[in-house]
Amino acid sequence: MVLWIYWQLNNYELVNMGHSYTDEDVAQLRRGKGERLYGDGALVVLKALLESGISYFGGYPGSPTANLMDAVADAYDPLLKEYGVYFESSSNEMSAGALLTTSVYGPVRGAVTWKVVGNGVATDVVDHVSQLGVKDGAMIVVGEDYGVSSTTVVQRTLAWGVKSGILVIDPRGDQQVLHRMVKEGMDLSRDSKSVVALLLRPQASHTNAEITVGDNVVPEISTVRKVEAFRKDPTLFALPPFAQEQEKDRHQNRLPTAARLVVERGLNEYFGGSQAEFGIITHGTTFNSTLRVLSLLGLADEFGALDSRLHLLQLNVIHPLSEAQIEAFMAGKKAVLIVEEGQPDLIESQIRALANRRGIPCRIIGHDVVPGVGELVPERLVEPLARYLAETVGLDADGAIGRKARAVLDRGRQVMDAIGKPVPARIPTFCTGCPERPVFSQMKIKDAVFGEKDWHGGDVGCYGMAGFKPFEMADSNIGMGAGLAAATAITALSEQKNVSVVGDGTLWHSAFNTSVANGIYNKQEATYIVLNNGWTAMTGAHENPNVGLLMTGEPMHTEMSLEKTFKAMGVDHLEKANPYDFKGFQRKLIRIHEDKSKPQVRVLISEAECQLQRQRRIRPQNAAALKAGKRVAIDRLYVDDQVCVGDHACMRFNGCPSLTLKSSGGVVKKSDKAYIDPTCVGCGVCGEVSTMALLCPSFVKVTTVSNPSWLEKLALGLRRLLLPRHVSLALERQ
Amino acid sequence: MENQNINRTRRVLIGTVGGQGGGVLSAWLVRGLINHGWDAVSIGLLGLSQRAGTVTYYCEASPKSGKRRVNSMFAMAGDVDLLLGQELLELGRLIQGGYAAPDCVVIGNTYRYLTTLEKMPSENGIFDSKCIVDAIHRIAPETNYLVHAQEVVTGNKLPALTSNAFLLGAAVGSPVFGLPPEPFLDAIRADQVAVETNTKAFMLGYEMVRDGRLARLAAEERARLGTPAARPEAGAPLAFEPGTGFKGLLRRVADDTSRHQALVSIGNLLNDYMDAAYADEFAGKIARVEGAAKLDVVKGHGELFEPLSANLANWMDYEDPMRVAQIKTSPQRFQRLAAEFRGSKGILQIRDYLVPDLEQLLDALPPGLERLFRSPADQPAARPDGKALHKDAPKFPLRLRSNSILGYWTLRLLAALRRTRRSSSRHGREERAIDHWLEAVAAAARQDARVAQVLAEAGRIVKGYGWTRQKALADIQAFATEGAERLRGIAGRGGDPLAIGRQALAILAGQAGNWEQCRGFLQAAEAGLPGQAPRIAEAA
Repeated sequence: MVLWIYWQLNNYELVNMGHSYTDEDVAQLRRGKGERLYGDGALVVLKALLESGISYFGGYPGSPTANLMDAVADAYDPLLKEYGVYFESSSNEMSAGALLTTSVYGPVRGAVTWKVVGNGVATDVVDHVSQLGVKDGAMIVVGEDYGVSSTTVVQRTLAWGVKSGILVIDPRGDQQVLHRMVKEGMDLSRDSKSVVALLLRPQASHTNAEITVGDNVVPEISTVRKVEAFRKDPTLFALPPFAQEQEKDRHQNRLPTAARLVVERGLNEYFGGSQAEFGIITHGTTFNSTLRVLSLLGLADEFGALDSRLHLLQLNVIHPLSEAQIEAFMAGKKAVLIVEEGQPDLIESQIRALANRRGIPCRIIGHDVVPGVGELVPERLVEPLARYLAETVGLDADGAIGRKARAVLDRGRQVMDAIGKPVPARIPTFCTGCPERPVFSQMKIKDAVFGEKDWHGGDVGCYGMAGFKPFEMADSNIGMGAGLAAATAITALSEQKNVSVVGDGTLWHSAFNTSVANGIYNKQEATYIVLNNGWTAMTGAHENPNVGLLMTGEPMHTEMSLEKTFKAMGVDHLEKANPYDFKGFQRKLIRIHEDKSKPQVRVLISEAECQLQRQRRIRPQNAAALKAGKRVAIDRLYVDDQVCVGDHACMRFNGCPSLTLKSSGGVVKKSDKAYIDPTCVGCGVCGEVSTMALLCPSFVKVTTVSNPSWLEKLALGLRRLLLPRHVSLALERQ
Repeated sequence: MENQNINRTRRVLIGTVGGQGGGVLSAWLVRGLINHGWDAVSIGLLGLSQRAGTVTYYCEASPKSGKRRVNSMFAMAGDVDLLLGQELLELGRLIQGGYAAPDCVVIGNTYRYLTTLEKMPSENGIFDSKCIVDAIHRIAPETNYLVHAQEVVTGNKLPALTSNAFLLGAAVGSPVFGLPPEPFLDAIRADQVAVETNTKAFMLGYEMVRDGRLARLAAEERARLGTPAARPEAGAPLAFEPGTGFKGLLRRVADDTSRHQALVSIGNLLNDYMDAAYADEFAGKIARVEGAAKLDVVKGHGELFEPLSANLANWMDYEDPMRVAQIKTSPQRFQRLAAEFRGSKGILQIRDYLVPDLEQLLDALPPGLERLFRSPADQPAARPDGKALHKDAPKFPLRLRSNSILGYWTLRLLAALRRTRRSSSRHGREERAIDHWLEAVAAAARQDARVAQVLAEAGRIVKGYGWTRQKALADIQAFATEGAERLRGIAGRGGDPLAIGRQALAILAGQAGNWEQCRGFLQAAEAGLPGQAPRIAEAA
């Protein structure tokens, strides 16, 4: 036993594995004026931030800007550390927002990032910063995701920006423009003393392109060139008597300055004929969609040259709008089409209000023609634009535009229907060998086989996928860290037991406070399963306090223990279990689940490392051991296809990507049989599921032992003697 | 097909499965185009990419012109020049997005990575590849290249993982680009991952698309997908000396090769399962159906023979612990195992996940003895949902090392006990259930051949172990009584019991325990017919 522990300790070492960027990617961040950089949106944004001379960066990783955290972390050691840029992987968006306070009290600039739902988490703090105003640039890179390509709810940052006095930059889809907007945004922030939100949509964040860059600016105040102290200023306090003055300054001074500078610096762009009588106003990527459609309709080329009978204003800054700019654009125009994506449509509302207030005689067409809800992908704009061009602009006397529009849409429809029936959705699922799957397999078995219909409050993380097939075991998914809290009254008002789930990353993000403290204090009756996989895995494996490392790869020098934290908070009944061992896990779960000693939050910590990270760690170790002639045992599961009857019951409790089907080849037993492909990592969940749900005896764990021990060699010798040759021989391979 | 304007923008959409290297493929394409002096960008719509979800990459590229192109941030319907599918269903998804331009090129892999939704149903869950391939053939009749990329590369002695490089080679060599290979080979080299095999695979794809081999291979692949999958079991010779009953059956179909072959397979299976006499019992059961239904099932022209014989044989070959032990110790089993792990070095240790329980022990006892231990309420037939017993019932999960000395000989001993199977309580129950089903088929055949056909086909739902099988048995019991009666009612009111019955059966076959949904479907079908539905007693 002691030896085993010793072996484990020696084999488990923390390694900083880097995130998504290679050394070559990172090296490009040193390039100077006129040189080229190739990379994704995160690399472009980071390069622009370095050119802006940031002193700090922080954030909470989340799609579509998790890659920005990766880029900063991967560039930290070779570059940011040298510049003296302070970097933190913030506990949550509120902590990240609080980091912007640095720019309130000191003449430094910095940036933070989070996904759009983080706006809500950070609001309290950012609203304070916004009211106080900043000395130098303060930027939030928001992962805007109105098309919901990640786990988010549908929302726009614009509404938040408008109500909180935050400038909102929504660059068109061009990485060179993105690069410029980050730098301009920083200057705009400095000059208007306002916080800037830069919207980084998934399309821009995940665009790989080449741009021309500028020189980096090493910050004057940094971790390597510290100031003696930050100057105290009692007036920088967001409560009365200063609050109303700050509000007055923001709306009478800072925001109007920003609006003026946006125009002066040409941040919004014009295309087409300035004398045209008909206009189009776009923002963000609606510009790209509009141009693509106009190009197909024959009114633009692929390089942004627009027919001179049309004039287009692209708003790269959507808050504040310059009334002067809008008014000038509408002057002399008969009509303007506003192509705004989503709700609330504050651009359109503001422009309509302005036209009304100033009595501008220009017809405004917006969401009465353009779809008002949902992402504005190009094909949704074909009909509205064709209609505008034909009915309002009067460009389609010969019907050519209408024909082209119909041709585009007809081709689409014709191709769409070619297959005849919809192809099935490919629902994302837990990775092969994921330690979270076994927890939900057990839940599903208890629910479907044994009829235990508990309420499963879900939370935000990989385990949110438990809400999908085959499990459907996340009964709610309700904002980060709030899963258990969401179930307090649901439990109190029903006979149903509560078994809720959370991951370690989400616990440290907010659930300790929002759910655990709330539950303990309010005597919530609940079983809280903590999926401790040692990583913030959902975002593509990010370090969190459980890992023992910072995102930069530096050690923490202290332990933040989940167990001790729960106990210190007042959790009396806590157990730890290995999720791959169903029997042991169930024994402890039942003990916790059926503990009726008092109403309380009881905790079961399911402990097993994220399998992706585990494989990244052990594969090279195994390869090295094999090379050194040491004993290596590798597990993989196997299905006896003659024992499998092909009822696929296992699939309905498992969903592992490596557990699939193959044709049976039989005449009588025709059903496709279960098959485990070579990507299996041998976690054994297939066999455990089959055992617990009493499915079948088809599953087999096969351990391939290389360089066997002398004991194993002896056993092999005995088998050769006492087993038929077809058994012993088939299973030895050299 | 080639557009005359060589400077036009090329739009490429790449459909992939998360974690299958689609990112590398799109990165190589863009890097290669930039190496060649083109202006190129790619956009990844990653979703939950590392988790086997759909991941799509969109790329726009054109020769440098001095002007900066305005890219579309989304692929647009009818606007994409090249659709590249790393996996067939994902290619199908791109097709269904309507993106293919009128003169598009489609390059794709017919390899299938099954989705969870396809794997879950008991049957017919897998999407028909032929549907996708045919649709693509209609969309781009002259310019579609769909082949099984993994098979092509492994056939050329390259690792399966090089299939991405192969597809890229085909894309670069295709009429959409028609560019020289070097810039792309440089992009692959820059990645420093399996450079030698990836560059070879790239050149293979590049050359095959240019010299016409890929188009020919694609035509062969399309034809292959149209032919039913080979069933290696069919065509095996008779492996035992049949008794008179089964011999008579074989003689009756001597002039019908396919039926003869089917019966040979059935005979081999039943003989392996028990003995030659068991095959005679099979013949006897068929004869009883023929007698009761006054019908020649074996030589008749109807479709009854195939489902009745296969489903009967499958049912008679129910998997009890003795059968499992027999399969797990058979030489063929060890051969299959060894073949699956032929890539690995070392010795294989195998551990079988087995869960013997009280139920199985009682099943193996003769009925008289079984009754001593089991109260009537505990009879499996008394709890069709299969729920009551097993949560707290005694069970003994174990991981048996079936290639250890003790494990192997224990299983051999258990397998030898199959000689006592005929006297077991389980066998009696299965026989009664089989006879009940066959009687229902025969009774239906006397009135309406279509209902009999559906009931014979219903036999296929009987499969599984333990509670899944109990549920399936309850399902077929209900279908053969209430279901049959409803179908007869439907026929009486002018409905088509064959079509409706098969749809109902598909529901039942999706998952054991679906009888309620199946009944709901039948009731809805009844409601859609004119006239008054007869009153029908509900089964269980």
